[in-house]
Amino acid sequence: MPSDTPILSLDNLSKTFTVRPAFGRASVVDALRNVSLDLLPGRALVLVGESGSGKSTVGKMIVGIHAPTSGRILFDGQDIASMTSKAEQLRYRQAVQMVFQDPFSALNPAHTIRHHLLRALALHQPEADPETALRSILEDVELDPISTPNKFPHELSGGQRQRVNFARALAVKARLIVADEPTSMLDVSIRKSILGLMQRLKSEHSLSILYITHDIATAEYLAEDTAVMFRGQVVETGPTEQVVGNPQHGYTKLLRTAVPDPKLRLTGSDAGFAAKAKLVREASAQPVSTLREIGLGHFIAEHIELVHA
Amino acid sequence: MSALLSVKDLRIDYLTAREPFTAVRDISFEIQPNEILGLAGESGCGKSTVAYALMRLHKPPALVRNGHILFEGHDVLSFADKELRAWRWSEVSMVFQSAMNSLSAVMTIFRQFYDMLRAHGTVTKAQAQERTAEMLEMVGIPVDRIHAHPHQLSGGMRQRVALALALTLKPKLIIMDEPTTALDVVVQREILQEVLRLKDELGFSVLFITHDIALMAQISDRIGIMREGKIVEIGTASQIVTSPEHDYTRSLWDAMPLLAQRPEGMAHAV
Repeated sequence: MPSDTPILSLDNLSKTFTVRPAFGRASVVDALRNVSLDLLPGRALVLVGESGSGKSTVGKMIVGIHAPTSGRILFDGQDIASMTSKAEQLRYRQAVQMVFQDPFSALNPAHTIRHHLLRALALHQPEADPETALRSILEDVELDPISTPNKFPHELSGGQRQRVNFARALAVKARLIVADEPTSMLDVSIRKSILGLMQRLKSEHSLSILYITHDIATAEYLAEDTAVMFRGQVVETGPTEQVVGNPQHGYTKLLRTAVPDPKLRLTGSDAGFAAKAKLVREASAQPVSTLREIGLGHFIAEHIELVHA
Repeated sequence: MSALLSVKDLRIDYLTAREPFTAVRDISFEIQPNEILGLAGESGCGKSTVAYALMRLHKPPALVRNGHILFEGHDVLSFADKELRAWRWSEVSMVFQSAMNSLSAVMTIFRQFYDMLRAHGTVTKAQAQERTAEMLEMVGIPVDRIHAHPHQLSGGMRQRVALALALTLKPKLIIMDEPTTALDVVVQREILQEVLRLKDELGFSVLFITHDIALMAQISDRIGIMREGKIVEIGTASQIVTSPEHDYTRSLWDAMPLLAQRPEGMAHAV
């Protein structure tokens, strides 16, 4: 039974990057602007946005690849910046695991799958019999427990490699998996099965999942909650059935409309789609003034109005 | 109506250290004037190999073992080098998946148009500039970006430049190999609508290659489904959507994460 204390909270998180090109003046990029999100235990939150919306920056900050410029990341209610002792940091890094987009470069090509998983098992489950634990983990991610351990990454398909990455997170007994576009480099035909795997891990191992994607169509397959990001800000957040099924923010509607629908034929006349898209983007890029609650737990952003010069 | 392009029994092998690997197994299809034919399939099914072979861009170890490619009745595979150079781009052009890699990173946008125009006829710089401006305007890029380098443009803009380059010589057929896979859905929609508008305006055929069959169904007239080097099913877009005959086509549809419910009237109501 999921409790109501979030396993992970982002509290007013901002991140600016200073870009210093080889030539010309340095510029400041606001990658994240005041992002606040909660992820409840045993649930999945999907973070949807186009490239450059800041969704991957959120993931990288959670696993500690980037430090926040301002704001806090709370894990079990504790600010991760305050975890200064080695033991606390280890505990956090064990509990939070990341699965990357590219299943090909996330595994060491020179080592077998057994090596990848046994190392994690030896460190984090030293009491268990390694071979038994290995088999049970592989079964958990629906890989053949007999033949897979002796294979090298190049002998597996992209989907199988992504399963190994999830197995690695299971081996360290992670409680939260940050999955950054885990399906976007895979063939369309196997994407659904990876989503199904994540769904199963969530319900059977009561894992919490932060699923980062640009594909709003996949949100419904996995996540109870959805947050839509644009230009570093959260523009709409709430239960998936509300946000995806009945979007209220202009940008979410735009995103929803643009998802290819095989039953809808496109013609040469776009009925003002491009013009409308431009307006929606401009308006949505403006700073958020307030998040207004329009339904139970369903918030949309209100932006400072764009003044045309 | 006679076909613009007809492919007959095309077989392409990749030579390997062991047995040759047959990537395309005796496929035949036709593209009519003004038609959009979609070719869908998983990665490794041979769809890109077909695209490259149509323009004779395939290089060793790929080898055409069998079959004919007829473009307006001429045998493409028997063109001499000089004929081939003149034919490519003026009759058939191509838009690649990654515009970043198909544009030269060290040349301005204008320079790339100028190069292409000079290779296909004599033009003055002023004429080339005028033509480039005209093409950029057509695909919706502000003309003042004419002297920009590719890295100064967004991914969507680069793909529009690649499209403009492919259209400049008014080819009769454009091959698009995953033209929007690297872009997000909103930009993807904008660009495909641009393609359809330009098709209405200029009149050309498109061979559209992607693994996203939902997207393909939105713009293609006919769709061919490829698997392991063969076309397992080919039919009109509506037939492939509503009554797919081959099991593999059905399994592709089953595997697509589609939005469950779509409110009525969402088509253009943004």
